[in-house]
Amino acid sequence: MSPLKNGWQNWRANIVLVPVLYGTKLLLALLFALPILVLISKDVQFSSYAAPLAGSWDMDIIGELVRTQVGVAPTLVVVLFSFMLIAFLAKQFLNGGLYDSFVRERVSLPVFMAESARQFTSHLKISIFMLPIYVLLIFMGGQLSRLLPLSLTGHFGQAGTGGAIGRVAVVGMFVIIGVVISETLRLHRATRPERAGWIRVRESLDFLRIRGVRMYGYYLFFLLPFLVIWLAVEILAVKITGGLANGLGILIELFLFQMCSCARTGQSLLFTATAAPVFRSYQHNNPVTP
Amino acid sequence: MARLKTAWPELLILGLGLLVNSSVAKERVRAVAQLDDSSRTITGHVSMVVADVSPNLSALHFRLYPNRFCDSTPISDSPCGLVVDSLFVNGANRIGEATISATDMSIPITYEGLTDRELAIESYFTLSLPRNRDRFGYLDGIYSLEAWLPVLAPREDTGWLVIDYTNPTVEPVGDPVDFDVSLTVPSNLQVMAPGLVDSLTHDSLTTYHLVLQDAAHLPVVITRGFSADTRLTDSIAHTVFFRPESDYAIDSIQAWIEFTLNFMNDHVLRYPKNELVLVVGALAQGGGLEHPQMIWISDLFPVSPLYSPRMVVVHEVIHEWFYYLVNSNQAADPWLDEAVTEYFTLRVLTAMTAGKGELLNYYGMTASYDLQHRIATDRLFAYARLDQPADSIGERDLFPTIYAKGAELMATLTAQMGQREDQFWQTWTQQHLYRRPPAESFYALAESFVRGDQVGRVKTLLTTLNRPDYSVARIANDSLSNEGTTADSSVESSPAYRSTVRLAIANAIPFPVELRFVYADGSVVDTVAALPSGTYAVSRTADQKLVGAHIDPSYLIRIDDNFVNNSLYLDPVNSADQRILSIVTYLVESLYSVLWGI
Repeated sequence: MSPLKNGWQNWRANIVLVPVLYGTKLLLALLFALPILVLISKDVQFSSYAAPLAGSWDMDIIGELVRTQVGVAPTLVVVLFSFMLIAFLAKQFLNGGLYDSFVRERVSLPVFMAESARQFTSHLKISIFMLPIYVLLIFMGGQLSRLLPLSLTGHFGQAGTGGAIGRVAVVGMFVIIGVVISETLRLHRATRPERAGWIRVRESLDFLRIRGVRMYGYYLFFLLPFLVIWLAVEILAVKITGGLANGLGILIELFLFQMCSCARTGQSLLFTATAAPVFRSYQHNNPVTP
Repeated sequence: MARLKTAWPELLILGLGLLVNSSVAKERVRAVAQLDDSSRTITGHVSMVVADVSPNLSALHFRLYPNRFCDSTPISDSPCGLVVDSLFVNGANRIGEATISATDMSIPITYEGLTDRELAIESYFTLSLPRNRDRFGYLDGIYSLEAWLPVLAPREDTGWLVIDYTNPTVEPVGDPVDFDVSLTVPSNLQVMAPGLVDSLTHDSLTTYHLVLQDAAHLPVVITRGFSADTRLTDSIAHTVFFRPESDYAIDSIQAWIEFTLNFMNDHVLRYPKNELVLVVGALAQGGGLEHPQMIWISDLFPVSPLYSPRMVVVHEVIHEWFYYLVNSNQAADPWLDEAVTEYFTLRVLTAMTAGKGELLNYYGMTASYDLQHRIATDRLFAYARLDQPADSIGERDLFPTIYAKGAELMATLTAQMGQREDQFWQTWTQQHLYRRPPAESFYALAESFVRGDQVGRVKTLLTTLNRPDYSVARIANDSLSNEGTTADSSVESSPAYRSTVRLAIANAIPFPVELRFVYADGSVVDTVAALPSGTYAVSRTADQKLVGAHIDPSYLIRIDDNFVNNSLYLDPVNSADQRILSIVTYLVESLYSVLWGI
């Protein structure tokens, strides 16, 4: 069976992980967003000043709302950073159960939680290890992207987007290298917990030497449809909400945004689901001596 | 692009203006100067005749503006700034009696020494250019010369205006004179300046003959490798000089200039000059600089989602009216040109962008230029008075105070003029054409154009340190009996409800404010009331329930601290808060996705 088919079946076997991960992400986002709603709702709902926001992203209105709550802004920034840290730690915790489930190609709650707890510090160490690598990759991508003219499609306003997208795409291609390395290290942890430290790094690089390009290709294969979905959502959201300019338009936009967010989670897990059997197969064919 | 429109009202006003101004004697400054490109110095001499000398004259003061930049590293070993080597007054060399204090040079003079009431002044000077490319200096192959000639300092009836230009927030002030200058440069350089009459090349040197009238100084840029694009708007030739890398922006820049010229011609006064020059890249720092019939702007960012070059070009073109035609004192009253110009910048941008006045328009996300003002002003509204002299404002506070707060105050003021606003600006400009008006004359003229009758209210508004806050605090409806009988037994209906609106006003401006009452059947009642600070209960009776109330419904009071509380409805009238919840949630989720891959 082809690796893509294997991956799809693995993903379907572990599909409960998609809502779990997406739900965690949504919960952490709402914990930040809901207090903001409470803060502004009374002023906004009963005033006609903010009414145009229902149909357009008028920054004048957002700016005015921020001005009226300026005392709260620093607190919100601190809270946001705190939630980012919580989300990071939550992801490192979930990584253990997540990668174990995809390696086993099945999920069981007690095993998931046990592995999450067991592998937490390992995944935390991998993230810390990957940080300078990401920084280096972003730097390299940034340098290469400067070959692209910034004014690819124009100079002012929307016309200047083409060049910016092009440069982000070049940087993104380098970041994907980091993603592939990170996934490999984590899959190695899930399959060979006893091989730690630089041995893990060396054996992961051995795998990437043989399968790295293919893994990169798999990531792109799953990323591109997501990008199409994301673009469609953005365009639709602006057009529909702008056209309706009422509660229904906002509801549709909310649904589209969340669909996009869920799709992102699904895309990320689909890659892991595909990479896990490939990695396991490689390890099976390349046993290591203790 | 030429406009086919009769301009007789503007010609009449201009003619009247010239008649009023013709009695003012205007000096003529002749100068011959030469640039030495290797030592980065300019040597030359200036001659001028001061007619009708006042018997009270005890000294002559000269503006040595380039000395302001003496802190910058001089390029050559020659002395920094503008050095006057000799100064002849009616044939006698008086340089030994000169006293130099930073950017001012003075020599004593007595009326008894004069055989007639005319002074012939001739000076020989050496100008050393510092490493600088903002207002004055040489950097990266570009000479930027602002107010570079040693001319007389400006003077009023009360005496000389001796201004210390070493403060970076002070811009040059001068009396309008006629310049007739011959400037010689190496032939591999090009001179960009208004008033170019002709040029003559001989022996690898080119002499440019420049004639500029009614100008406080003669601006010049000298460089190489610039192209020129000239277009015509209503008989005004506007030329943009640019390097090849800015070629992409020229059509846009010319369109912005054309729009602004047409707007100002329509709403203020027809520009009486037939030339305007703009140089892209004359400044090293971001932004623009205004001069008589010339504008300098910095190199453009290659791409920007903000339309900031448009804002800069529009702003600087408007300065041709408020700074050049109305030659206000930029040192004592910087707000008279900058606040007014910034206000008109918003008006022009609003007209240019179909009512949005946008600084940003990016895939449905918009932000107006006015938002920038409101945010910039918050920090210092309570302590920065608009009418401060330039040297009492720090560089960091200059834009928020004079530009941003000034524009907001101007918008609030002119909203009180209604349909008469254009007439106010036309009168202001015509009355002070090429003159230096005091701030009090602005207050006095505006008083006659605003509604209401409280004396001194214009100055009170423009110098306020308190943001007003007009808010609707509460709405209540009480049911009334709605039937009664008359003597002939017919049924007469009376209003069904007494509605009470509680208004809260803090730091009220001294002008009436509009009120709007919205009823359940959709009908709207507008009224105007003069309300000082305090809380008020406004009662109205009607057949319908009052469902909403606005104070200042059109947001004419631009300095209002909070627009959100200007209106209140009994029931929710929008779902904007839900949309904010939706986008904040999505943005935070996206942040997690990008950073942590989930």
